[in-house]
Amino acid sequence: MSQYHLGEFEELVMLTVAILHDEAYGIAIIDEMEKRLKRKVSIGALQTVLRRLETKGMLNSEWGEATKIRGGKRKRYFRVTTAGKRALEHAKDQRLSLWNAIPKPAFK
Amino acid sequence: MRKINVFHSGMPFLNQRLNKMKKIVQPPSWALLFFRSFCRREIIEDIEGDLLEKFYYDVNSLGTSKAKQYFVLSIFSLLRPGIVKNPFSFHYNNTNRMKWKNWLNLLLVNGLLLILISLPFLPGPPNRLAIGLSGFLQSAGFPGIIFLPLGLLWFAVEIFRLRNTKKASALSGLAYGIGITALIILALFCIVFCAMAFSEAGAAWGSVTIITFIAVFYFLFKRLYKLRENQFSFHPFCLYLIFVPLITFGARKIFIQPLSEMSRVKTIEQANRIISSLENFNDRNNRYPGSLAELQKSDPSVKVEPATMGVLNFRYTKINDGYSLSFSQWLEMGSLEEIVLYDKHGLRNLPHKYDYSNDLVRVNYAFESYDTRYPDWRYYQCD
Repeated sequence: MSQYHLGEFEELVMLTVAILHDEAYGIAIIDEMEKRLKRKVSIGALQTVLRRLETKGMLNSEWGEATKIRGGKRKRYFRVTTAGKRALEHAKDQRLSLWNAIPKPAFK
Repeated sequence: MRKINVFHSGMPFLNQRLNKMKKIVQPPSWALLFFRSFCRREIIEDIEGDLLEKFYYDVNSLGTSKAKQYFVLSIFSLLRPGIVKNPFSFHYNNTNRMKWKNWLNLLLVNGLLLILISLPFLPGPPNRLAIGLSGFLQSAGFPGIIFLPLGLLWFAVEIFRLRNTKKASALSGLAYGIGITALIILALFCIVFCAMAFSEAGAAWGSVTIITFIAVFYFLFKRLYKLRENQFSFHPFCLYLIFVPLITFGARKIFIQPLSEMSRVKTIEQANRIISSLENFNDRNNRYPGSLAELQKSDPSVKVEPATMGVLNFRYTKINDGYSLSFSQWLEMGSLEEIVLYDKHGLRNLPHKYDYSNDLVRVNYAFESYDTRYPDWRYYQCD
């Protein structure tokens, strides 16, 4: 398997993290994904993917501020790494090349 | 640490309103406890924060009961590899875990105990120490009555200590005190056993027993002393106080009977070879041998020493034209003796001078007796 191989959900999560830029933490990522994709995202699925991407080196994280509403627990903000950016670009190029290869009569 | 102090624009709620709500509405505490029990400690803080933030947002938008439902569902959705911690990991706080080798040690110690309790019934050269050791360990089920509550108390102190790091020092001292108490009680029992080992098994085995116990107690005391210094990890000694008495008590109730049956059958089969040799001797010489030593002289191939550790010897009694062959094995805590007797010639029913060392006399005082599947063999249980 290519080092840039990303699952569908992994790709969506990484794109959302990139969209949110400096504000990508658990609940914010879920909220953004549900708003844009019009589908439910479970916290378990998201957290598993975030940890997996961090292990792969596609994302890194750092602690943010603690708030009262979070019971004094700190947020963890995620960011796309250079390797993650390359993986996203690779996935985007693959899709574009497949789209460009579709002949015009295919969708008539 | 990041210094951003802005809520994400997609979650427009008022801090004040939600803080007020927090005082009235709380997420289900059992669900939160369950989450804390299975989540890896490295990631628990931010996930718990996310769960709480989502909960209060849902309370605001969907109502309390829906929010609670979604909270519980979110927690169950977190039951995945990568989130769930190693089952051997024990703590909620950021402390050292009980390592897999601690569990392995516990398993090995309890396995060793089972083997030692079973020793008299296993194949091997006859050995008095095996009987004494098995009896002593079976008896350990009774002092377990003291050790088990001590172990449970210590376990509770350990859990409390790990959750209250402010009181860790005081609670470490309490755990140490419980450990020392258990060690002193154990030492008293071991002194009794050493005295028995000296008197029953001889000076050599007695010395080996004492040296072994001294080494074990030195090791245990050293490990216990470290408890006071290391306040932030779980100490597995309390589990030994819980499991060891349970294992010894359970072994006595569950294993002794099938093991004794197995060793009885094996020893009877060996004795049957001696019996056929005795009959051959009788055919050749028109009489039975005066002793097993005489039999062995005429037939060196016959083995007159039992091949089970807890059976010390075969006892051969010749009376007139008949004979009996018997052996003993010790059962419950070394206090219940089982005499297995081959008495084809009915010598048991003859009048005998009172001599309690004579099995033919002793079996008449047995409180229970049973047939075996081997003809002319019967076993008797005596105190």
